[in-house]
Amino acid sequence: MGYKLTPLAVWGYVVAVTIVQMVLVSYQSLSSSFLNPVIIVLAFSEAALIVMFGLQIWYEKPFIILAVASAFFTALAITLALGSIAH
Amino acid sequence: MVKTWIKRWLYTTDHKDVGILYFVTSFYFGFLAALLALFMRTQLAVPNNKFLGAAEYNQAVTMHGLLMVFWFLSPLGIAFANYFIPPQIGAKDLAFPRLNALSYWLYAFGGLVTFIGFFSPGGAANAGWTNYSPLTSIQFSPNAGETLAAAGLIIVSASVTVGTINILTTILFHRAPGMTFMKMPMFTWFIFFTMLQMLWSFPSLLAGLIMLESDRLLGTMFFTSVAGGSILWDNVFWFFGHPEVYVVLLPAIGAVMEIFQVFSNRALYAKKVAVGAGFAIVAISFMIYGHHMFLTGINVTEQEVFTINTETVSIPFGALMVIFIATMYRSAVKLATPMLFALGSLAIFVIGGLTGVFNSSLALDIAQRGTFFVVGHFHYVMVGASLFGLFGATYYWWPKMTGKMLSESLGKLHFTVSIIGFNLIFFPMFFLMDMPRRIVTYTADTGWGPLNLLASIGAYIFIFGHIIFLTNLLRSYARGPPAAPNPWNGTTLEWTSWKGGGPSPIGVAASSIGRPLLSSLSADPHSVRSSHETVGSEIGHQHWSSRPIELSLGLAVALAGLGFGFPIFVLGLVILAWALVGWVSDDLHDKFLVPDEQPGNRWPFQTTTKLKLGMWAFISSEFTFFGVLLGSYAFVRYNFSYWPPPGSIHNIPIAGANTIILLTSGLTMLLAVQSIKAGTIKHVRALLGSTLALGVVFMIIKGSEWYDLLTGSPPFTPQTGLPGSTFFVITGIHGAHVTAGLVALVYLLVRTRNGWTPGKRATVEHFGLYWAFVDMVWVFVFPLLYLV
Repeated sequence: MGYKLTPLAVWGYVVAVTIVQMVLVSYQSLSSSFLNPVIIVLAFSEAALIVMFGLQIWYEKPFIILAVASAFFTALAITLALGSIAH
Repeated sequence: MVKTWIKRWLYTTDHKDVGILYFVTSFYFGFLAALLALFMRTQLAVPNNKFLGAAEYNQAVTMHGLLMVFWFLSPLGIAFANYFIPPQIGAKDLAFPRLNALSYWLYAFGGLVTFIGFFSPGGAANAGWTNYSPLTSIQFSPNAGETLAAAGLIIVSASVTVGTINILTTILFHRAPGMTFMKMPMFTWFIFFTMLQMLWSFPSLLAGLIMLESDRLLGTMFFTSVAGGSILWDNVFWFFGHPEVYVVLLPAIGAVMEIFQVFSNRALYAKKVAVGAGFAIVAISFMIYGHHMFLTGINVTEQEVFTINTETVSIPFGALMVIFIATMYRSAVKLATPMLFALGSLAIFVIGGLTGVFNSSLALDIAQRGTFFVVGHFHYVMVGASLFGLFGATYYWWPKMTGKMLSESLGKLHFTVSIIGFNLIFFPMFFLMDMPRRIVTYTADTGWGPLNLLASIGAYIFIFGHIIFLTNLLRSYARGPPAAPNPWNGTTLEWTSWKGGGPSPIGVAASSIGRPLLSSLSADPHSVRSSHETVGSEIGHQHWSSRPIELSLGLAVALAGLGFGFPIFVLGLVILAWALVGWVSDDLHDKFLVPDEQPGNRWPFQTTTKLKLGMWAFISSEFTFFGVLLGSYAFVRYNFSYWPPPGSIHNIPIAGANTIILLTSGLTMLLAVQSIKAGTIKHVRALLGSTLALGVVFMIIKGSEWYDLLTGSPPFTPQTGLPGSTFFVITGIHGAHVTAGLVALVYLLVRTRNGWTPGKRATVEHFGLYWAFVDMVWVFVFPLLYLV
């Protein structure tokens, strides 16, 4: 039974975060400059959980090398592209 | 007999055969590229020349660059990697033999799809190998050739992804016992670095090409809008393009390192520093591409950062140069042909590297950008240093590949003619720093005539050198003298197996230069040798599969259909589907069996399987692929003055519910994987079926959402602006991934209908990784496209 708890917990979190994101967007009074970063950070937290348990890094630690390197080069591509915008 | 011979070369999956296929095919494409270069140099030899018209010249320049970079230089290094990585690390073959053949056939057909553009209406691609926007837009390049070139590059990107995963997994998973990382030969090390660069750079090109084709065929606006346009393409292309310079160079450097050691009779000086330099080159190579964009008006601070980073990359390369020289210092250097070419590569690289430092300077770069100075520089680095190194590799490993020696006198003549010809072509270009690149002709009063004539004479001399080379190869193959088992006293494991007959005396090889690599391995080296000598000859037809060539043909025909019309596209899809069904059928009936390797040195991946490692490598490249797509979205979003507010176009509650459906499919998949890990397989098929059902529901809702948007009033389509372009392309590509996953789920359900084996359980685990990745991508796509 124990092996089912982790997937259920991960699923519960990502579903809850999805609902929270939708609820936050429904509030017209919140400014996008506040709201957008919050929504993106929440998305990162979902992704981190999926990478850890769905992509099995929690169970097979060596893959963290590939995960970190991939995240680094992906972040680099996005950062350098956005940073190149002159205005 | 002939039929068997043809079948062997069409269906082989043996790494040595595939290596030879890469070797021959890359020289074939190299010949075509050289021919185009000769046309260009003939045109530029004298002022006001009319040998080529402007259109033909543009096509020649573009196709020369594409063929040289993607279909000659880089694959030639891969040819040697294919042939020599397994024996160098004591493995029987590459980790995934069929994928290796698939990688080759994708590469070969990709080249044909690109080259066939010459025979399409409007001619071949003509916007330069960099495919700069907006030149590549349908407005400025309406010819099918441009579409075909992008299609060919998509195919070669697929080839590279498959090949990279294969070689990386092989190096990480199939090293013989005792073959620790620091005992790996330097050629293997530098192929490893090359693969790392390919793993994270080619997905950027692939993402860019898909957006480009989407712009050309579907009317999206990634590279035709002001918000995206040329700067977006530059970022996407050069994030791939600058590491690609090193992708072309590093295999040659690895080969040159082997040659320096053997012909200096010395172990490599400061091997650990050389390895560290390799890692530094990999990391820094991704941070310097902006020097290609100094004149595009990018952020000034970032220009300064790129200047510093570009100058920084000269440090590890400088360290390598010192290591080469220190290795040769006071040694008894033997100037055989491989060593001459290695020395030539070193000398040429120093010139190319120094002129590169000039280009890294923001001030100098502005003056030199777009001139023949830059042409001279990058040919010294990409062509000279790489090609001379790879020629050295050919002379070094030819006896191993064929069992015959090449003529030393012809080899030395080839070297002499080539080094004279090469420098005659490209050195004068450093003095043509006021002559623009890619001009079809010039007038006499510019004063460029004499230097251009010199360069053109050099081109003919250089080509003559290659005729000598070809003569040498053919002469050796037909009636060359038999090679000794280890003619150069090589010290790496590949010299312990011997194509020409009996086993080579490995003890002599190991002890002759005081670097007893072989004896330092914990395994019995004889067992290592015997293991990789069984490949091909003894496994024989088990190593044959028609599926790689069929699958590649299907993909090539389908993508050629983008340029030649819908019927060709459909024909390609039919072939592709047929090949896929055949591949799956082979698996279900165990028709392709390759014996597993004995456990070797797998640190740090001792506890995993090679398929899981391969899947992770694939996911790693997918990270960058989707990162570039979503980064492009962020780029245009940031640059675009108006973006529809959340909820104004998309139905958020429905999209949110669909997100939860996909996430729930992730739950059922994860439960299936965890059940297998816990050894309880009772409900696994039901869980897989649930994942399939939820995935299908997700796609149906997604399809319905697309339909509503496309037919709404007013319609929201890919052509209506950047919001539509980004939405349809990103959700479309994600949907394609989900669909591929659903097909794989059907396969899993069919495969497990008659019970479970350890292999089937492992397949579910590996697929679970893919499905989790698809979920993970969506948790970014949903908020970015619907909520913010």
